[in-house]
Amino acid sequence: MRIPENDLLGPVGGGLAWISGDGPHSDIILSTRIRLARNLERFPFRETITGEQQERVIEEIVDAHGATVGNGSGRQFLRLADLPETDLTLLLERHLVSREMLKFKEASALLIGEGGRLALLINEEDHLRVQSLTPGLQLEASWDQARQVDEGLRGRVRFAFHHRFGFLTSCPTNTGTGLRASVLIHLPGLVLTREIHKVLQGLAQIGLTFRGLYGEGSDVIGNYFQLSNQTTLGKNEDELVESLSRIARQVIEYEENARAVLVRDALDEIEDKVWRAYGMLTCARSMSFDEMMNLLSAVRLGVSMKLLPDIGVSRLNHLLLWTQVAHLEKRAERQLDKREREIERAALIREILDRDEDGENAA
Amino acid sequence: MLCQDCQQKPASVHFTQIVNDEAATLHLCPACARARGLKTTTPATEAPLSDFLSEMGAPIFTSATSANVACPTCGCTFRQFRKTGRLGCAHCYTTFEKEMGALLRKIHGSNEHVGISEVAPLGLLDEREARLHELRRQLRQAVGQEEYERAAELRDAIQNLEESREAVEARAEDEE
Repeated sequence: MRIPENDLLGPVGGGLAWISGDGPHSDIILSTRIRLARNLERFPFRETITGEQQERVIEEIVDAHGATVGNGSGRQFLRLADLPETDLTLLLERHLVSREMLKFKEASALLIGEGGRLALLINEEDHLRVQSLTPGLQLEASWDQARQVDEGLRGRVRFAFHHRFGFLTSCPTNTGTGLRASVLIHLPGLVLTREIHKVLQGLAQIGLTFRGLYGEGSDVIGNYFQLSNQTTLGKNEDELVESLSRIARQVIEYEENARAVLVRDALDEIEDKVWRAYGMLTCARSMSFDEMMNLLSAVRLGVSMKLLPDIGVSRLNHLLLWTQVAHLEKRAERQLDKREREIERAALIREILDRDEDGENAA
Repeated sequence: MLCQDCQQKPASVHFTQIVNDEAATLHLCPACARARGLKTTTPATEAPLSDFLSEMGAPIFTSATSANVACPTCGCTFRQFRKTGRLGCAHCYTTFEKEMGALLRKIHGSNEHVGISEVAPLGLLDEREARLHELRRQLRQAVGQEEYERAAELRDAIQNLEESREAVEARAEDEE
C-alpha cells in the first residue's frame, strides 16, 4: 500500500496514534475523546469577532502552547484555508477537525501534537477546543492529557470565566466546565439481541447522549455509537469523567452479556453471519461504504468473540479509516467517482485483510 | 406529605441543611420554598437545545427590557441571541446574567460551576481568597449531594481560614 510519508495528512502513524487498537477494551471501544471548550477573555466570540482578532487568537494560543511544550515537541500547525478539499475531508475522517470548523475554515487553524492524540482546534465555535484522543477506553488518561494542556495555557492566557457560571462559551450548552467526554463504542451484540433501545433510553435518562460515528447530527452506522455527557455545568470535571467511565464499563458489560446470549441461543447463526461477512469482505470486487461498515461490524464481532481468526483490532481500525472517501482519494492521488471508489475500496479491503500481522501478504 | 410551612399544599421541595453538625431536612411546597429564598435544582432535560429554545420564548425573556438591552461590549441583544443560540462575547453572560442563570439551569440542571476555576492568573484575589472561594464552592456541592461529613469538614476549613484572615487583619491594625 502506497502512503504519503510522515505528516498527519499522510501515513498510518500521522495523527492516528488513537487508532492503534492497543488501549483497554479496544475490541469494543474504538476511542475515547475529551474535549474542552475555551475562549480568550480579551476577544469576542465568533458571532462578533473580526478577522484580525481571529488572527490574534491563533497567535496567542499557538505561542502559549509553544511556551508550554517547547518548540521541539513535534507539533504540527495547519491553517485550514491553505488545504485542498480532500485534505480537509481527510482530517474530518480522522476526527481531527469538526464539521463546524470546516464551515468556518477561513479563519480556522489546527495544532496537532502527540501523534494526533492531542489536537487544538482554533477558531472553531469557540476560540479553542482542546481535544484529547486515546485508543480504547481511557477516559482518565485522556482527561489527564487535556487537563495538562489547559493548565499550561491557563498560566499564560486568560480564559473567559464567570465566578458563578464557570468557563464561558459561545453556546450555553457548553458553559461551565466546557468538558465533553465521549467514547466511540461498538455494540453489535445489543443491536442483534434488540436490547439497544432499552440501553440508549436508559442512558438518556441519566444525562448521556449518543450520536453516530462522525459526531453531532451523524447517523449510526456499523453499530458504532458515540456516548457523551450532555451537561457541562454543576458537576466538576473529575465527576463528569468518572461518571462516563463508569457507565461505559457498564455498557461494555451489557454488550458482553448480549454476546453471551448470542453464543448460548444462536451460535450457528452468528458463526454463519460473521464468516459470511468475512467472505464478502475478502472476495468482493466492489463495495459501498455502508455495506462495508455493516460487514466490518460483523467481522469485528467475530474476532472479538474468537469465532474468526485473530485479524487484530489495529487492522480493523485501519480498515475503517482508510476505506473512507478522502482516504481512498489520498491513496489514489486523484479524485474518484462513486464506481471507482467502490472498486478501490474492495481492493484495499482485500489487501489489508489478506495480510499477516507483520505486513507480509499471506498468499 | 404536606408542606411544613403552609400545611396546605403538597411538599415537592426537600431541602437539607446542616445546623450544628446535624442534617435537618425541610419539606416545602414550591411557593413556600421560594418565600424562604431556596433555589430548587431541576433535573437535566433530555433535549437541552430544543428546551432551551422554547425557554427563550418564555415571558421572562420577552420582557421589553431584556430583549432590547444590548451588551455594552459587543452590542449583542438578547433578541439576537435568541435567534442564533450563540452569545456575542463573554460579557453577554454578565449583561444578561439573570436570563442566563435561568437558561443554564434549564439546560444543565444547575447554574453553579463547581469545576476548575480560572482564579490563578487573575491577580484580583489573593491566594487565601481564592482558596475560600473554592472551599465555599465545594461546600455548596457537598450539601447539594447530601455529603454531610464532608460538608462539616469544609465548613470547619472555611471557618479556620476566615479566622486566620481576621487574625492577620487584627494584627495589621495593631501594628498601625
